[in-house]
Amino acid sequence: VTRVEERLTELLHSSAPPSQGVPFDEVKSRVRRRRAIQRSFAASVATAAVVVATVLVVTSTTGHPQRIAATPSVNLAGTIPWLDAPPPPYSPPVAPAPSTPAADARPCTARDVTAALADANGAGGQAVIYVRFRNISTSTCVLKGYPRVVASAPGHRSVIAADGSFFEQGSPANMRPGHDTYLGVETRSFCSAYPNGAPSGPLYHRLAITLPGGGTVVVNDSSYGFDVACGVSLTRFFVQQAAPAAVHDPLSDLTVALEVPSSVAAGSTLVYVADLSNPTGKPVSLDRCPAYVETGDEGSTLKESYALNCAPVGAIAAHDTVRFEMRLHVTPEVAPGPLMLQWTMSAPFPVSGTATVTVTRPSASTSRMATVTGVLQTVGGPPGAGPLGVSGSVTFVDATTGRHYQATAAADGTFTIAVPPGEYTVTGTSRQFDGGAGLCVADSDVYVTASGWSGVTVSCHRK
Amino acid sequence: VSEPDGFRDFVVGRSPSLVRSAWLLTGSEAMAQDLVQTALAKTWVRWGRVTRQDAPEAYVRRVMFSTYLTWRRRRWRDEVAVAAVPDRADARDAFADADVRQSVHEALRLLPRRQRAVVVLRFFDDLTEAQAAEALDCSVGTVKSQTAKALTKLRACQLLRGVWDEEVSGDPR
Repeated sequence: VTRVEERLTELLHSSAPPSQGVPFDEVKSRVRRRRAIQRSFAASVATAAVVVATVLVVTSTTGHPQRIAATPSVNLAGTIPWLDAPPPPYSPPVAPAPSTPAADARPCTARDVTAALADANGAGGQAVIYVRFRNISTSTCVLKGYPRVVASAPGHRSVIAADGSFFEQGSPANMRPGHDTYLGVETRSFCSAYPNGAPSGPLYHRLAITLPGGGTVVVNDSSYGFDVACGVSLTRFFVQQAAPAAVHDPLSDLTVALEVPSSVAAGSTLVYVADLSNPTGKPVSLDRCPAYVETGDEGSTLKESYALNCAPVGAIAAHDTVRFEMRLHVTPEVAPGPLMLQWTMSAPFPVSGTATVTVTRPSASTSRMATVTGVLQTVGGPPGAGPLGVSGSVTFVDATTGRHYQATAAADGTFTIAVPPGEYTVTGTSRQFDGGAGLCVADSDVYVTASGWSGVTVSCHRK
Repeated sequence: VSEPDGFRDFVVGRSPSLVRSAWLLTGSEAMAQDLVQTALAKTWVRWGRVTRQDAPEAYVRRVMFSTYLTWRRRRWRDEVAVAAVPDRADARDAFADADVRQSVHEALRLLPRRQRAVVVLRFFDDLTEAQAAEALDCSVGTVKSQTAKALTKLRACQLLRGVWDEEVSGDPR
């Protein structure tokens, strides 16, 4: 070691400032961001290249092309690109607000109605008996609000019912001739006077009900009885509403058919198409964007779920079909042979399709090469100009061997390339950027794993 | 994101040293942090294999230097290589003012990236020529030649005139 080297060592150690190191959480969030970038950019990644690619041409530094057989593919022309987005929860269609029935007819009097005990219900020490009033007059009238009700039994004191009940429901409505209105009469087993439960007392069978419109009707039915130890209380008059009809979800009208390649190698990504058709005469909106689930048949353990890429579609027109690109990673563990793929829209209705694809063993090329996808884009420039995908050429340079691999970016900037796993420096050029003279670069080096890499962004920085 | 076993301990224990190395490469705490975090994030996914090879720090350093050598200049827009550093009115005084850090940084900026990397690996990280060659994924001969060129430039650097004594530097003046 020379004196200069010793002095340089001292100099470097004295000049490098002390450091606390890097926050672990920063590293962790950076890992998360890298993965998020992978996922988000996968959504816009090359479809066109996959469409036409029955072979991928990889050019070496010597300029001699190597042909690498690709798996059979489906025609992705015109498809909506696959979107790597988590499945949203099901959002039911908005039900129309129930209309409030009119209750503006003349008040019913005792002469307009008959009354009878109709039904009983109970819960948690509270019981309710419903009194049904039927309009026997020739005109419409209404029962609303609270009547005055007196329960009585021979030899016992009468009890006046209080207004308000646990069983309040519905609303009043005009009662046409022959139609009914109800009143609930509630009794309780527990009350402040009897916190441990009221003792069994005499049952009251007679109710004298004075209507708001005038007159009193008497209900006297021995089949029911009221234990009034804890008092009696009333609901308002109400009309039984028909249960709201289940709201039809137009998404359930869609049908699906799958287009799958004849085979897919284990360890690779199955790219296929889900054709969503609208057989109805009305457009079906995708504003409430549905999720879908892809599953393999039993034993395959394949299951992935995503959001449909609804934004570019908006709605599926009447009698129209929209083709959605789909992806499913077929893990290396999937046994060779036929695999039944099921695609199901995740919703409370069955929109489902199946198809069979043959899983093959990983080919030599599959095991040696990894697929990388990405986008070549211009960034910067005039204010407001967002990233714009551009056609051009993308070059991967192996950091270890120096070997070059080249891919062609489609008009929308997307590209797909097969390279051996390793570390790459990625650059690109485009005639749409400095006439092809400018150099576009990836954000950082790309570490390609055996399972591939997606989301490489090669940016051409406009000034 | 699941955390690999032992990774947190490694970051806490070793990242201060890595950041100091990265500072010498980049001349900025922010860029040093950026570089080290990038290297660690890249290592995260391979941590299991890295630890099995029993040389995690060597691996991280290799990733870090590789990243440094290949990152595009546009990423570090404020880093611009210069052909010569302007003279100071009195460099000795500046040094005497404990502006060592700035002087060293500016002197290192005179070096091409690979030479700068060799200097840091050899004289700060105290790696042997073979270890430095492995970290930079090049031959030992390349390390030797890059080291020699770097030392020549540093010895001739006016910013460091006060550093080398007459006997050592053979000051050309």
